[in-house]
Amino acid sequence: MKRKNTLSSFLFCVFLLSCTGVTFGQDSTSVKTSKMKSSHKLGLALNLGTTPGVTLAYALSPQLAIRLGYSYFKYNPNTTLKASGEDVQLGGDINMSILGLSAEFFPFKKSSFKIFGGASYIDKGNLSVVVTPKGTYTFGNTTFTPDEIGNVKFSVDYGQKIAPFAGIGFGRTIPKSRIGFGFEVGTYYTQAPVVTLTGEKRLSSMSEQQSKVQENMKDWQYWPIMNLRLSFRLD
Amino acid sequence: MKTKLISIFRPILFLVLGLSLVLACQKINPLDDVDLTVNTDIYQAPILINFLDANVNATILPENISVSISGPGKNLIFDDLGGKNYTVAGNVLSLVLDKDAKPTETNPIKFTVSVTAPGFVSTSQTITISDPTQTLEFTVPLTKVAATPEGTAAKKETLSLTTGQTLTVPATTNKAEVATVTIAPGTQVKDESGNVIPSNTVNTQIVQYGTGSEESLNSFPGSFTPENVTLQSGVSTPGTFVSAGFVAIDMDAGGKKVKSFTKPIDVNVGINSELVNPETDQKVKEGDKIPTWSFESSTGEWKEEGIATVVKGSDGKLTATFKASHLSYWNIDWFYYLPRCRRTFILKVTSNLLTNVVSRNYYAKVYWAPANSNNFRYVYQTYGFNAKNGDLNEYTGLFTPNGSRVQIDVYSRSNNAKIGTTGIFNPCANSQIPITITAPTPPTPILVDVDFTAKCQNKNVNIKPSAWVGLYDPSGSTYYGRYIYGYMRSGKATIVVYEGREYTFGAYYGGKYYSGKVTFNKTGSKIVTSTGTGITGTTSYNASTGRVQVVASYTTNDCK
Repeated sequence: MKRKNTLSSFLFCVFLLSCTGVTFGQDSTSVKTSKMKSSHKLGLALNLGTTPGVTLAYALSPQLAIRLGYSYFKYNPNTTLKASGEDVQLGGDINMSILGLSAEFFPFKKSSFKIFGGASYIDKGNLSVVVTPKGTYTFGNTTFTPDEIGNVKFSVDYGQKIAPFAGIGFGRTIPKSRIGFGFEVGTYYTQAPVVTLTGEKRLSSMSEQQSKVQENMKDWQYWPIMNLRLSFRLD
Repeated sequence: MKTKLISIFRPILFLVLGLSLVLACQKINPLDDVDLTVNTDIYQAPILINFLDANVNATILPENISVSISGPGKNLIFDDLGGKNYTVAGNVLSLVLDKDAKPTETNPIKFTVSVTAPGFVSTSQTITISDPTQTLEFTVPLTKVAATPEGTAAKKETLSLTTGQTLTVPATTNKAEVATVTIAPGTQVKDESGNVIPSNTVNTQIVQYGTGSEESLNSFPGSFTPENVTLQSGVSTPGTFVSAGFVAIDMDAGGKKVKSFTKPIDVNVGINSELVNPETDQKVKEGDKIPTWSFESSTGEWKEEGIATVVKGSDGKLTATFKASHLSYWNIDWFYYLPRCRRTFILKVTSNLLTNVVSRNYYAKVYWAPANSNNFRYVYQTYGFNAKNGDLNEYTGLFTPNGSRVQIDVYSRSNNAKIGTTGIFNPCANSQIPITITAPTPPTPILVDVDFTAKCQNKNVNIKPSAWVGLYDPSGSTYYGRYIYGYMRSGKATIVVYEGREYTFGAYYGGKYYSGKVTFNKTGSKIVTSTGTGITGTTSYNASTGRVQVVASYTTNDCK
């Protein structure tokens, strides 16, 4: 039977949860449709999700708007957790900074369904997690304390690069009412991230598995966009 | 309403399908198959002791070997799990030094491994650690009483204590010397506590080691370079023995080991007619005096007992005679000691071998003579020799006065032909000793990079073991040429093997040998697991480096 690995499962969960930033509820999307033609030109939106931030939009026509967005997320987890029966101390750093230019297009006049696409400059796109076992480990007659065991550092870095993105959604960035809600899903397309897996002290051999992680992430070129959006009309 | 719902949910459906497609192409968990892996490179000075039958023609290995550790450094010596459970895995014992110990050349750590095995003469190996970064390998030949090595012989009989009796170990085709032990009438035997054992008979076993055979000298319990010799003056010192003969006498009566007697027993040990007295540089003659020494195999301690006198029998043969008041192994030897001299020389090899070599395919014989003497005596064999770089495996140095003389001959194990010899040199001088090696072309060697992992059965963690790797090549002509050892630190080692040859390959860890069969070649192969303590793994060949990598693992339950 294949063994479930404590570290593997734990880090993966932390990785996903940390990157989404908030609990995401698909049912919370509020879809507002309008049968009226909009003549408003300027709007501002706050995004919460995998790429949290703000978006400024300018309508070129009722069906087309261009958007300038900035996403920023930074989080420093520092907590003790129990993962697969093992106490571990979690520390680290999640850092994301993305500037994007895009367009949203509403193909149906009677629907707020839209498609969007554009390109982003990824200024920062990295995650670094340090996991330190809190318990003791005994091999034969030798017991290691947590300080003797050391820690494992796992980092993922997308580097500084241009990444195209596209997706679909509901809700206008420039709402017809003063306030609007929306929902967007899509993906960035970027190069595979550079992975680093290192260990200290007794865990120094962990670095030998870095190539395995890099291989596991060779297809991680699609960074998901899943955002709830709160929009404000500015004119 | 229906149309409106369709218009809303159709794109959602497309979205879900689209995302599913994207994610299906990716490995979701980047840490899939990544294991928490802990290095166990904790201890120092890893030691491997390989126990083999002293009879080089033996077809089976010694079994059920038991060991105990004694000596001043015993508290600092552990099994490779860090405990005191000294278990011999098959014929291999691995030991380590405490992680905090700091031995030096002037303040070494010394201990003795005492060895017993059913049907074999007890012996010991005293080990001195002066450098904690060293790895140490030893081969300890064990004498099987029922099939003694060349130049030795054994005799076993029940003797009468009431009437007295003599037990004679007769001459054989490869041992001209005769040994006798005579018990005087009315002698009583005593146990370890000094209590008389009520018995009219005593079961007596004598194993005699002649001096005319190198195989016999290799089998000499305790070696000719003892580290723990107590002189009659009370001084304790290492040194070098020049042996005139050795008898291992064991007795038991009434189910108890005999340790002493109410009357001393007479021991006569025949002297080889070619033996040279190193004191006179002449052949031993009647009237020569030779010191006698007792050896306690359970502690590895030698003790100066007295003097044996050489007498000539009616047949013209020489015999050293002495009285023994207690029972142990008795040695008739000249002894040279102080100042202590460890190896300081380097063999500078000029070799016709251009590639890496398997050290176990070669061996070296060390010959010694006192200063100003040309009568060289065989001292011991190093069971491996790197015929390319001159590394003498298992050479532990000679405890001999500065100025003594050494010569080293190197042999190929495949045909036992001499392939090189040094000139005569002072082993205590800091010097480079040139030696030219002209060896037959060996089978094609190949470098193997070992990557071992131990998977814990009862905890979600792996170990990168620091342990000895052992390979067994059944095609070797004797057991002495069948083993290749290397020490891996945190799961990594590099060894040289023969390409295309099948080995039993594995790791010694916690008193077990985790092994499987594998052939190292340029096409890659799979380790075939054996039962019980098997390993799994594969090999792969890197054409650009010309090296084979073997990735292997075994399961252990030594984790908590």
